[in-house]
Amino acid sequence: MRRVLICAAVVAATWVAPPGMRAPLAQTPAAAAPYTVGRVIVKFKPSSTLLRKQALSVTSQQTQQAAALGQRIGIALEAGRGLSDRSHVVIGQGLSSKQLAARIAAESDVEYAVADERKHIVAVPNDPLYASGPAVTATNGGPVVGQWYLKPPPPAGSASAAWGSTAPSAINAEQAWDITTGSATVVVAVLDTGVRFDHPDLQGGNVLPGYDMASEDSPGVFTSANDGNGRDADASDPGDFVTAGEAGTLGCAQTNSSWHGTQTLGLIGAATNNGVGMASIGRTVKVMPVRVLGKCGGYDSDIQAGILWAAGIHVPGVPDNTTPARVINMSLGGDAACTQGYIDAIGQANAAGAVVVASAGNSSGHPVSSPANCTGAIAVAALRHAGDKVGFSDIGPQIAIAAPGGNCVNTNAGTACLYPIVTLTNKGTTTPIAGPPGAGYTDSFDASLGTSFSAPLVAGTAALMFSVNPSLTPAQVKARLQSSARPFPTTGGTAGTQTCVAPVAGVDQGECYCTTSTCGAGMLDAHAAVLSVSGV
Amino acid sequence: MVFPTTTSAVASAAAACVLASALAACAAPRQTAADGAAPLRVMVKLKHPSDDANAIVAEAGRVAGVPVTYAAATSTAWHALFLHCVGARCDDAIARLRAADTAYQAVEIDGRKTPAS
Repeated sequence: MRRVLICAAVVAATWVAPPGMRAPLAQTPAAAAPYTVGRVIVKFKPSSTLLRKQALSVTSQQTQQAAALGQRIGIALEAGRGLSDRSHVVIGQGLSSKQLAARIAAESDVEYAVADERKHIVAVPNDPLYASGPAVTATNGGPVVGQWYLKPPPPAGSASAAWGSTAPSAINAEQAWDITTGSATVVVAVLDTGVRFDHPDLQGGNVLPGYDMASEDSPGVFTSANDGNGRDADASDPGDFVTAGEAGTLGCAQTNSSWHGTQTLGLIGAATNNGVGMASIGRTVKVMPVRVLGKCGGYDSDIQAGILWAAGIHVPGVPDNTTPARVINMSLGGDAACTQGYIDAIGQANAAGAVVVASAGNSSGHPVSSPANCTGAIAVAALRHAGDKVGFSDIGPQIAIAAPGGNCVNTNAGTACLYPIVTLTNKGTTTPIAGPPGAGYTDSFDASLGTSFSAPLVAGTAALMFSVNPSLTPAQVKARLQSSARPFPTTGGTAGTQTCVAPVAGVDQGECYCTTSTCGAGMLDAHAAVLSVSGV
Repeated sequence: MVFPTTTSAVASAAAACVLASALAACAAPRQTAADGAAPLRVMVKLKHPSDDANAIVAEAGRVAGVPVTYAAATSTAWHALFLHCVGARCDDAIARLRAADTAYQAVEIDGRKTPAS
C-alpha cells in the first residue's frame, strides 16, 4: 500500500541561511551544475516594491517580480505558479532549491522563501498486522484496527465514527517515516527480560547481541536469573515464569512467562516493511537487549549496571559495550522514591549522551513509579485510543509525555480487546518454544496493555530524532518531544470521565482527561517531534 | 479436594490462606546460601571508587559486623553486596554501614523492579 502525502510541513520548516552564510554565486552554468534547478516558494512583505500594482495580468506581474528579484541576486528567475497576492513559485538554474531559497530569503523585502519540495510518496509498511490483525474468532485474532497507534490521528475534534482504524492518541509514525525510517547508527537499548532472538520478525539484522546483566540471588543461586549463571553475553530470554514453589521463595505471584523484553523490543525494532508480522516505530535503528529482569523482576543494582553499560560506560567485570546506545528504554518499575543509585546511573547515562525513557507504572493512577520518577528520565504515561488517560496508568508531575498504552473498550469476558498494542511474543508458557513455531504476536485476546508499551513508542521516536540529528543532547530530545506533543483532548472518553487530579499514594484514579500536570506535556506526535529537529 | 461452598466458609478459608501465605512468605528464607543464612542484598556507594571486590567485601564486613560476600558491580563507585544476617542483625549492620560515612557515600537496599505491564 502506498499513499501520497503532501509534505507542506517539511517545506515550511526548511531552514533558511542568514545573509552571512550565503552560498557562492553560480558564476557560469558550466561551473555550477548546469542541470540543477531550484524551485522556491517566495512570499514578499506587504511593503515590497516588487508588489507595486501595475496594469498587468497577475501572470505578467509575477513574471516581472521574478525577473526583478533575479536581477538582485544575480540569477535569472522564472515565475512559476502563483499562490496568493504576495507569494508564488520562482525557478532558477544553477542552485538547489535550498540554496536558492537561502539566497532569496536574504532579501529585505522577502517575508520568507522556502524550497518547493516535491510531493513524497510514503511507503506505508507492508507488514500485514500494520493494517489489520487476523480475523477475530471467539478466542483469537484482531485487533481489527491493526497497529492503530502508529498511524496518523484523525482530525482533532472529529467524531469517533469517523476515526476508522486510527484514533486521536495515534502517534503519526507514518509521517515521521516520511522524514526518516531510522539510521542504523542509532542504537536503542532495551533493559528488560532479554529477547527471543529467533523470532522471525527480528531477523532483519537490526538486533544487536546485547548483554545479560542479571546476577545471582545469593551466592551460587540463580533462581531469578533462570539461566543457571550470572552476568554473561547471552541476552536471550529463558522465560520468567514463576512456579508455586518459587512464588513463596521469591515473594511474588505464580505466573507464566511474559516474554516482556521481546514485546517491548519488538515495538522499537521489529523488522519492518518485510511483509511479515508487524511494523516497528524505529524501523531500521538498531535495538540492543540488556537483560536485567528475570523471575519476579530484577535487582536495582543490575538495572543500574545495565543503564551504565548500555550508555557505553564501563561496568567492572563486564566487557565494555562497543555499540553504545543513544536511547535506553526501561519498561519496568517499582513503588519507591528515586534512589541515589538511579540518580547516579541516569545522570551518567545522560552525560554520555543517552536519553533514558521509563514507564510511569500501572498502579491505576498512583504516583509515578521508580525509576520513571528520577530526574533525567523521560517518564511516559499511557493513553487510551481516545487520548484520555487509560485506567491503569500512573500519573504525576514527573511525567514528561504520554503515548498509547492499549485499552480494550470491551471489558466483557471473552470479547475482543479493541485497542491493544500489537507486538511480538512467544507461545511458550514457561520455557520458550524455539523458532517459528513458537513465535507469535499479541492480539485482541492475548492483549498487550500497559505503560510498558507506551515507553517504547517514545524511545523509538527519540531514536528517529537522533537519526536525523545525531548532535542532539538528551535534554534537547526531551524538550522537543514535549514541545511537539499534541494537546490532550477534553472529550471522547467514556461517559462520565472526569479531569485527572494529582495522584495520592494508595488511591486509585482510573480513566480521566489528562492535564499537563498529570500526564506530561501532551500526546506524543512522532512526526512533529522528528520534524522539529530535522533543521536544528 | 473439598472446597468450602458457603460465603462465610469461603471468607474464612480465604483469610486463612492469606495469613498462611503471609506467614510462609515471611518465614521462608528468600534464598538459602551455603551457610544457611538468608542474605540481604544491599548496594554501597564507595567514597573512594574501587573495583577490588575482595577489599570492598573485607571492609564492608569489618564495618557491618556480619559476614559479607560480593554480589555484583554497578560501577567502580556502586557495588552490590550480600549481608549474611537476618532481622535485627541486618538492621544493625545497615545502620553501621550508613554511619561509616568516611567509607560510604550511600547505602541502599538492593530492591527489585518488575515489568510495567
